[in-house]
Order: sequence, then C-alpha cells, then structure tokens
Amino acid sequence: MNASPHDDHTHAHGGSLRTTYAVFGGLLGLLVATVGVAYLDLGALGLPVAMGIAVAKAGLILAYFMHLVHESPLVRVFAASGFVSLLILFAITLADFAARTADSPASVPARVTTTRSAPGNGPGRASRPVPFRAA
Amino acid sequence: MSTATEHHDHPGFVAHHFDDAAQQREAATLGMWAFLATEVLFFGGLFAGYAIYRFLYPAAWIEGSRHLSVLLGTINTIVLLTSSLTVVLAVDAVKRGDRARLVRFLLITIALAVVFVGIKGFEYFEKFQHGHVPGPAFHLEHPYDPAVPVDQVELFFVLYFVMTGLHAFHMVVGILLFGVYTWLAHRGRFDEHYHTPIENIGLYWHFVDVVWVFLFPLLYLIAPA
Repeated sequence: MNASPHDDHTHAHGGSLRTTYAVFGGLLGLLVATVGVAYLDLGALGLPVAMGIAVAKAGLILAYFMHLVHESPLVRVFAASGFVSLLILFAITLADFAARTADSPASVPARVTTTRSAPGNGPGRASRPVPFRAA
Repeated sequence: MSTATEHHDHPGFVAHHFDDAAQQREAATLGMWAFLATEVLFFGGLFAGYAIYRFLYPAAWIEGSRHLSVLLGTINTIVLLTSSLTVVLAVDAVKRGDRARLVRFLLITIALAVVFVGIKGFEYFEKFQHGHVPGPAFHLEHPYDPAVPVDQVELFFVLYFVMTGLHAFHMVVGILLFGVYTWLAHRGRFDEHYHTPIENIGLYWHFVDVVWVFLFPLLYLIAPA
C-alpha cells in the first residue's frame, strides 16, 4: 500500500515501541531480582521465589515479545497447550516422588535425607554406584 | 516475488489454497505455535528429570551449582534478553516497511547470539579443564562440601551439559536461520505486507529465550557460594 506505513497496521500487531522498551526494562529488573534473591539464602523459599520470578519473565516475553496479547483466542489456546501438558507431566511425576517413603520397595529411589561420608570423593573415587538411599 | 495472481484480489504472496493474507498468516502462526508446544515438551522432559534428581539429591545440586559462574551466566542472560529485544525491533521495522532497519536489527541479533554461544563455549572449555565433564575423568578438585557423593554431583553435570547443550544447539540453528532470513531480507523478500517468516523466527527466538530464563536460576543460582 502506498498509504503511510505508520498507519494502524503497525499498531494492530506490535503495540508501540514504548511498551517494548518497558517490557525489556522489566525483564532486566527481574534478572537483577533473581540474582540478588539467590544470595539472600531464603532456604526452602529460594526455589519457589526463583521460579516465580522466572514465570514472570516468561510471561512478559510470551505476552508482549511473542504478541500473545494481540493474537486470536485460537492462537492462545495453541500456545497454552504445550505448557498445560508440561504442567500435567510435572504434577503426576512429582506427586509420585513426593509420596515415596523409606518403606517403599528397594527398587524405588527415595529422597536422600541424611548425608554420609563421601565414598572416595576426588580422582580416585570408588567405581561402585552410589545407592539411591542412605545406608 | 511473483506478482502473478490467479485471483483478482490476491496479493502475490498468498498461496493458492488460502482465501486471503490474514488466513495464510494465522495458519502459519498456528503451525509455529504447534511446533513450539512440542518444543516445550522436548525441553520439559529434561526439566522433569532435573526436578526428580534435585529432589532426590538436594546437596549434590547445591554443590554442582556452586561450580558454575554466576557472572558469566548473568552476562549471557543479559545478552540473550537483548537479542530478544532486537528481534522485536526487527519485526517492528519490517511492519513499517523499513528494510534497512530490518537487516540491521537481524545482524545485531546474530552478533548477540554468537556472543552468547561464545561465552557458553568458554564455560564448557573451563569445565573440561577442571574435570567437571561427566565420564571417567570426572572429579571435583575442591568440593565445597566434601560429604556430598561425587557421583551425584556428576549427575548434576550430566543434566547441566544436556540441558544447556540442547539450548545452545537451538541457538546455533537460530543463528543459521537468521543468516538465511537476513539474506532474504536484504534481497527485499519481506515488506510491510508480507513478513510472517520474520515474525515466526522471532517466536522461535523468544522461545529459546524463555528456556534460558528457567535454565539460568535452576542451574546457576541454587545457592551461590
């Protein structure tokens, strides 16, 4: 079209560049936050906080850089399908492992709750496999 | 670009089996997202494996993570986020029909991607030097916690190399694709009417960025020393 290239066509899909730079600034801010929080030693809260920040960053990228805010519902459903499947994969897998106890059959690895002296840490370590469960 | 059309109101870039440009674009966009959904699960299996073994061997995950460079990881994150920005700017340029600006931002994106892969390669090189590559030569010269079984730390590094390696492979593929698209853009293949391929390689690149957004805290930032 010979009409001005800066007409509504540009704004229909991409939004303004001001939004783009704001999102980029937000991503850098969240990066600083995730590195800073890592040094705070939050204990058990460390992982959920780090993942919360990562989800926020991914959300900004998906919504604005990948244009999902401007796409049709059909495209958004396609975009969501992979993540929903991933959620199911994680929910069922982790529910299984979280439910395992020391009484589970020996073939089932349970969480290692006690530390023990390292069997040959270093170059001359023992070649036998480390058992899944603390002895 | 061919301008011959069999249908009166069809621009030349609309393939025969589509009603109009909008339908063609949505089909391509849907196809790209379907591909990215399979990519989410491709990486997702590795993330699930990571989650299981981190749950089983939490001390080994802390130990392994402390042998990675937070500084290099942070620099690479900034590089990759910036390359995502330049891709957005490239897509914006082509939507405005500004070919020179499109080519310029594609070239900057390629340069940033090469920097990322270069830093990643340097990190791998260091791991080889220090014996942190899984296999017969794997060992920890200076463990932070000598009580952690070294075999479990080796498992952390297996996942480190497979996950970052698969990610770096996607980066290399992206660099090659960007090279082809930059050439096509230079030749005038894309304009304000037809630019779906640029949008779709942008989606691919942002997806690679999203994967790294999760890899970075999970590998580098578990409990920095």
